[in-house]
Parts: sequence; structure tokens; C-alpha cells
Amino acid sequence: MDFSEFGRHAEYVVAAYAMAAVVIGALIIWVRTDKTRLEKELQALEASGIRRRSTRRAGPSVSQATSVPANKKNEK
Amino acid sequence: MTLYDLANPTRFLKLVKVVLPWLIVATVAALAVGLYFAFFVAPEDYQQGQTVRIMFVHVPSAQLALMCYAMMALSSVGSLVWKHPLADVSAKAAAPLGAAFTFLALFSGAVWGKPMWGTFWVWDARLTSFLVLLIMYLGIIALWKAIEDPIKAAKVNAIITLVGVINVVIIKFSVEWWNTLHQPPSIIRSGGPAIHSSILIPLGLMALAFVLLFVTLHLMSMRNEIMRRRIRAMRMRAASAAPAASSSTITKAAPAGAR
Repeated sequence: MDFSEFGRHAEYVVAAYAMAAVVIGALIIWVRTDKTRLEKELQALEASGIRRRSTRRAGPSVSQATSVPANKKNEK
Repeated sequence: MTLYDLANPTRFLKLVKVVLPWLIVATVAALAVGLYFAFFVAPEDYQQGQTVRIMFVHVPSAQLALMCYAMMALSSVGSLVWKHPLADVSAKAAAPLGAAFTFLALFSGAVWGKPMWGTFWVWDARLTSFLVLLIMYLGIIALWKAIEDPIKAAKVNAIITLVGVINVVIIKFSVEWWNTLHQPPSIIRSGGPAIHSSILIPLGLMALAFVLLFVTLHLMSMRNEIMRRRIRAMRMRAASAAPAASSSTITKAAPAGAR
């Protein structure tokens, strides 16, 4: 494709792709920052001695929650 | 691993940890190939010229907007009928993604409409029903935030989501039931696609890339939601333990004070 022949409607094509980049970029940033914030919150709770019931029984820390077997009843 | 095994969030998170890196690589690769085909392989349309390239963003976004709602409806059934532990997590995590892709479909449709139709917007059945879909997504997100108890919120949202399925059917058939400015179906229709393979293949690649992107973002959002619920459960445990701890302190302190 020759960009010099993009045509008189180039601004509409650019606007569509630019908005797609902004929306997808914003979604990725939102999901990543949310994860970071939640992980920090979990660590802060763990540091203050608060633990999940299943982890208190099993032993390991909350920050290892993704790999610790949990009681299904506690998840909801 | 069965679907029942995945009902356990911890097992689900383990699976996400394994699958996510591969999904990210597949998404980036599919997007790169799709964009290359969209800009360097697909020819310009003999009538629309270069603006046909907007289709490679508009159609996958619109399909995802509908697919996401259909998935939320299935999750709602799972939540109401089987009380699947991850069903309401899935529905909640999908809503913002669905809203984002619906907005993108509306925006790209508007900037495609201006050079082709001479207007950004017209209140025809397809466009209006798609705007209703965006409003429904925003309403569902607001409702999730408004109800503090996630179990109650899941039930209310599941019912509303299932009622809203009627709008998905209206969106799908709006171009056949009413006389609209929006074109009739050109991909999924009796008699096969009405689009030439030189444009259909790049469109398929971009649609695949968008689906992979959605699955990746959805799994990441579900992981976040599970963490959010764990934090809530821990805070509630801490709050319920606090009065007990203070009352036991009082009980211990009382005899000492009596002495």
C-alpha cells in the first residue's frame, strides 16, 4: 500500500485506527494497574496479619494465593 | 481437567498463569499479521477507496461487542442455574471489555459513515440498537458497582443481562427487519459471504486477533476480580474478628478490674 495515495478520506481511516489504539491501550493499562494495586493491597493485608481462612489452615502466605489450594466455599 | 475442576478459582488461576503468556504472544502475532494484511495486502475498494480499511477495525469490534454480551448471558445462566463460582466473576470482568468494544464499533462506524453516507450518525435500527447495547453495558457496570454484596449483585445482573439478550437479537436482525442505512449482512448470510477473498481474509485475520485480545484481557480481568473478592473476604474476616477480639480482651480485663 502506498501511503501517499491514501486518498482524501485519510483522516477518517487514521481516526478509526487511532481510537482503536487508544481504547485497546487504555484497557491494557487499566487491567495492569488494577492488578498491581490489588497485589499491593493483598500484601498490605498479609503484612498486617490478616489471612484467608484457607491459607491460615494451609500455612503459606496470601501473596502466594494463586498457587495455594483454597477451600471453594471461601472464594465467593 | 474438567469444567467442574475449573469451578475452583485457585485451579482456574493456576491455568491462567500457564495459558496467559502464550495468549499474549498469539495476540501480538495475530494483530501484527492482521494489520499487515489490512494495510499492505488488502486492495482498496473500487467504490469506497481506502476507507474500506476502517472495516478491519469496525467489524471485529462489532462482532466482539455482541460475542461478549452472548458470553455474559451464558455466564449469567451459569450463575443463576448452576451457581458456578466463576460464572459471575466472568460476567463482571467481561462488562467493561464489552462496553469498550461497543464504543469502538460505534466510533469506527461513525467515521466510516461520514465519507460513505455523508453523516456520522443516523437513527436507524442497527445504529440505535447498538447504542442501546452500549447503554446496557454501562448500566450493568454501574449496577455491579452499586450493589456491595457480590452475590446479590451477580443475581441482579444475571437477570438483567438475560433480559437484555433480546437487544442482541434485534441488533442481529435489525438490517433485515427494517429499512436501514446500514448495509445488510455480508459475511454470515445464506449464499456465503458477499466480500471478495482479498478483503475477507484480512478481515478474518483481524477478527481472530480481536478475539484473542478479548480472551487475554478477559482472563486478566477475571484474575483481578478473584483477587478483589479475596481482599473483600479478608477484610470481612478481619472486621468480624475485631469485635470478638476486643470482647475477649474485655472479658479478660473484667476480673482483673474486679480484684
